[in-house]
Amino acid sequence: MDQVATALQASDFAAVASILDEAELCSPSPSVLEDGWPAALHLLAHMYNGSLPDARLLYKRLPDGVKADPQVAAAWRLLQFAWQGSGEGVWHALRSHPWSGPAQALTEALAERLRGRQLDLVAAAYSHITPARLAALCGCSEEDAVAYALGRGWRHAADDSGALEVVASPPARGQLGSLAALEQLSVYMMQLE
Amino acid sequence: MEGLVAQVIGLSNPNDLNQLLTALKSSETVFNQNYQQIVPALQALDPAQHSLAYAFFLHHLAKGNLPTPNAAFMDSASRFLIVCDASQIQLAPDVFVSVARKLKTHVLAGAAPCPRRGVAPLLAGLRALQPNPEVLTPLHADFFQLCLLSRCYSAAAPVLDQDIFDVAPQQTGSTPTDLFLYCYYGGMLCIGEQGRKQHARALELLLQAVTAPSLAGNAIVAAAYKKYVLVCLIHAGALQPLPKFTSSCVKHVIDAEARPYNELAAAYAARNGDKLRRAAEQHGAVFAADGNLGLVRQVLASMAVRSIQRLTQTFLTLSLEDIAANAGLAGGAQEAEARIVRMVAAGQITAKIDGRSGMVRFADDTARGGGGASTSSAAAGVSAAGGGGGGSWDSAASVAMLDERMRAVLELGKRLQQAHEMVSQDRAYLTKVTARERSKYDLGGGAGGLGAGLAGPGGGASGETDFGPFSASGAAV
Repeated sequence: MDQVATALQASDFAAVASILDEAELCSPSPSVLEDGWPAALHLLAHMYNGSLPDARLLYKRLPDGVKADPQVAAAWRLLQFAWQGSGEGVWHALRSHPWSGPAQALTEALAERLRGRQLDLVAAAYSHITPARLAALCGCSEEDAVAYALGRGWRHAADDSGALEVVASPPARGQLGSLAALEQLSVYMMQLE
Repeated sequence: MEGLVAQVIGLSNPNDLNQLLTALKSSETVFNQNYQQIVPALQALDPAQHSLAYAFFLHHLAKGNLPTPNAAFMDSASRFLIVCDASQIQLAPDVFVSVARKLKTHVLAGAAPCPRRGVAPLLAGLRALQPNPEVLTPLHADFFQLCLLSRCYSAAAPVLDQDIFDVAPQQTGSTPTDLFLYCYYGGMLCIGEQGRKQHARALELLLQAVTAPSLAGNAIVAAAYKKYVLVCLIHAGALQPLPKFTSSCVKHVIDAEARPYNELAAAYAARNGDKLRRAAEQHGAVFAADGNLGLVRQVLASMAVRSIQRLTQTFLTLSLEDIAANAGLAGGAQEAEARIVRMVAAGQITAKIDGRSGMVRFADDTARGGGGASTSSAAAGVSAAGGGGGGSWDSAASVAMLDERMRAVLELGKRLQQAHEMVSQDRAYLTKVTARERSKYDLGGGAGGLGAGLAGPGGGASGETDFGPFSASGAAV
């Protein structure tokens, strides 16, 4: 538990899930998930890492008494929406519960991360998007959504529809002219001969 | 008993281990006659320093009429598996495996079984027993089973990701059943993880179980084939025929046991939603009895994904309403939009939605490695990685990915070459081939058979060829 506190203090949220997993597996007590286990934090930490199946399995492992805890129930609702890929539902679930304790800091970081993921997804799936839709997906006001979009280099569409045009970021091109790359290529050619 | 303990402590030098092993093996009667003193004797030994003897003591303790679950045994066995010395316990793999399996029995026994307690010890034990990470041990299957039962799937991830190339029965005492169970439980873990990449790995493992050489069909193969059919439908959209090297008795078992599954696959291939639902309902009881109802439900749900994927092959642009109508989505344009966003996120299609007009433009599938229904697991992996970026091959990331794949293929090619050489030098194999050739000449039969015989070491004459499918499935890349 000290390790978790240290990780939270250092804002190293990605490490929290693996620390808790490890602690759970190493504990000899059969009721490790009952006595003061930070179940909500554990669930949120898995979601922060984007490993929704792990979060789902963790919830299934939890004893019924723990599942009744309001914070755990709220985290479960959040997970359900995330599982179904419902952008609006996730934000509603995240905002509608007054998070407390160590989970609070984590939910703030989680919101930040979810917004980043949503923007990546929009960049992959949309050519044009209305500010209202973007705001719903990112869980913020339309002005903020426009600001995020412009920050990513997207621009207003040329027509007067008010939509935003998604500009794909140019693919990163690595340096391939090195001698090592040439050597590697010659090895492949030898093999293919 | 005191004498034995003194002997163990006296022979704790690494050079005397073989002598100690003989002494321990021959003292069966001492253990049987002094059963009550085994527990106190364990106190005198250190599990890390006297690992070999500790394994024997625990083995004999568990063999007696120990009530399950026994907390003291679980504690000492768990601690022993975690701290034991690999070089010592590898001298007596059978005893070590029996202790680990007894631990599994104990954690699963009683009114409140706690499979989670066995996960970490078995993982440590498995690592200790492995001469190197590419070797299968008898504990793989037991470890996976505990992970499944305790729902700690993520604990198995590092073991699952490691490819197994060898079985080394003399060193680890593994049996064919261990291999079948490893593939079956491993496949189940991958299915549970639900990711796209994991589905590819699940298919690979299940196919290994189905295609492993065997002279008689067994229940594990039948169960693995059932899951294989369902995952195949979800992941690839069609049932892929089994490879040629599938043994014929396995085919018989499958034909007899898995008819409902084959019917489901046929209905899926007909692309008819009603027919599929009817097939699922008709055999619902069979699916439920096999514990595959969840997967069948996923098969039904994947039908809509397939319909949208098929649209991308016909149309360049299409409105959301038309997509909803074509794929039979009840929720109309809104559901179609949500679905497409989800499919793009999963790397199943490449598409751009125009939020102003509600039109969808399906992008060129250049990044998907041939597009269409990806047939091999490797192609699926490529599309998952490439589709996320929505770009083309023209980026540093895809070059790096291609590079990594090439390396893996070269490595695999080398292994295959090694296996080939080992078989062609194998005395038993050569004797068999020459005997066959000689009988041909005696009969005055075909000429030039020797070359053909040597070229294809697939006869299954020695241990190496038995595991041909491992390399063969990877080499299909």
